[in-house]
Amino acid sequence: MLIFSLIMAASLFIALLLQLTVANSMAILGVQPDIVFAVIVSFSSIGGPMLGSICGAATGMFMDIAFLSPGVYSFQYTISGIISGLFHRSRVPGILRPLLICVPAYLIKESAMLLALYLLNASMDWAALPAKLLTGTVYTTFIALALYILLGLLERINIIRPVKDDKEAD
Amino acid sequence: MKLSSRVKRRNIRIAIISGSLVLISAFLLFGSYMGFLDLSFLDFIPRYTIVPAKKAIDAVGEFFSDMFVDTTDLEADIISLQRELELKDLDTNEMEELRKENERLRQLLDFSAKDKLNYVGASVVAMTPGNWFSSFTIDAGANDGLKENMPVVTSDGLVGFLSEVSPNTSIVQSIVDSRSSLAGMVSRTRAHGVVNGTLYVRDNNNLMDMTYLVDDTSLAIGDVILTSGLEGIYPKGLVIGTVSEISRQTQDNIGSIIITPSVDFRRIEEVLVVVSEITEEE
Repeated sequence: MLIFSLIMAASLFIALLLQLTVANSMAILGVQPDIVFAVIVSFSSIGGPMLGSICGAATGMFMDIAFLSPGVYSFQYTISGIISGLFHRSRVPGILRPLLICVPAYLIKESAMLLALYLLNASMDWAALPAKLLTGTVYTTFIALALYILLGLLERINIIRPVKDDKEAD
Repeated sequence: MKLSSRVKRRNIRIAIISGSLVLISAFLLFGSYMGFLDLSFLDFIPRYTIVPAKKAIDAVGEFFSDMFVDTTDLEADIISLQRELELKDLDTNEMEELRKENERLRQLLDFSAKDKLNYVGASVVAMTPGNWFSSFTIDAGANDGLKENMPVVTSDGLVGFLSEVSPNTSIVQSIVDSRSSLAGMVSRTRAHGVVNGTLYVRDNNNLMDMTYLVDDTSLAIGDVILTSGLEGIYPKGLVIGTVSEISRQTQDNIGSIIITPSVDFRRIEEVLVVVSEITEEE
């Protein structure tokens, strides 16, 4: 569990740096991937809701401080970490898990951001929204899937161990 | 029995910790919205983590590019020449606007024109994550004399304004951000209108649109849009962009006007913050 937590913390920091520096140049059709979100979802679906919420909150608060936007990122990433962590005991086959978690979670998160934009009287180009949402969802889910496969490989060679099921723990 | 009570305690612990974190995040969000929460005093955290990490990433990128080209002797000269050019380009744009202004005002009124602008240079250290906001962080803040709502420019044109200022960093909200609106005018016809940031993207570049344009009948693709200075934030005469698309509903009615910004926001690295305008008396 300690090694898993350390790997998760390092991955989140690297994801954060990539998000803040190179994600903009990785944009496809003007849409950049949410690398931090992909990392949180991938690790939470293995580590559980508590790990997901702690890492989501910690990463989000760091970004809130960096961008002088208290609560904006910590709220969305904490919720994302909890929801994806709740699926860590699901019986869904491995490769489908990040897909089934990431797609709705990302759509909900982005819809909340759009609602906030609308309430801030931003210029809403409704014709451009579906394409941006779809591109972002596919792009971010692809990264989450790649990370999930990588974590599966690390688990297979015993670098990290899965969170024990309740029966095994007891 | 023993198994279920342990599981229950664990689940309760998870619920308490997770719930507390959600409540703390919600409180931060509420406090930010209501305006009683200010985290700017913590700006040393990203300054000592993100800025050095970005420099390290940039250094790694430069190392690999320098393996093929020896630029060590040229780098200092290039940086110094670039800064000189940026300031000269800005002066050239301003001088052209001043020349036009002087021609009109000489016939009509007795004004004192603004000669020059004072700038503080800064580097972009982080782009705000997400696809719905177009803003970024620079490595200059209140300690460098910056205040909220100061305009930000490059040699290519207008970038945006300072939306948040902390002691050592600032957030720049760009003109292409969907929350941005500014007063603009067509350089050729001097017709006034409102330029808005949008979510519309072409070639990975955010575009803007222009609304409430007075006398739009003679507008043409390629027309340069400048700041008109009417909203009080941006000095007059800064280049916003060029008209790239006009859709007409009828001969005389324009449906929409799309403007391509003159600044390439995908590649922005250094900016100049306008801290004051020098008047003739100075």
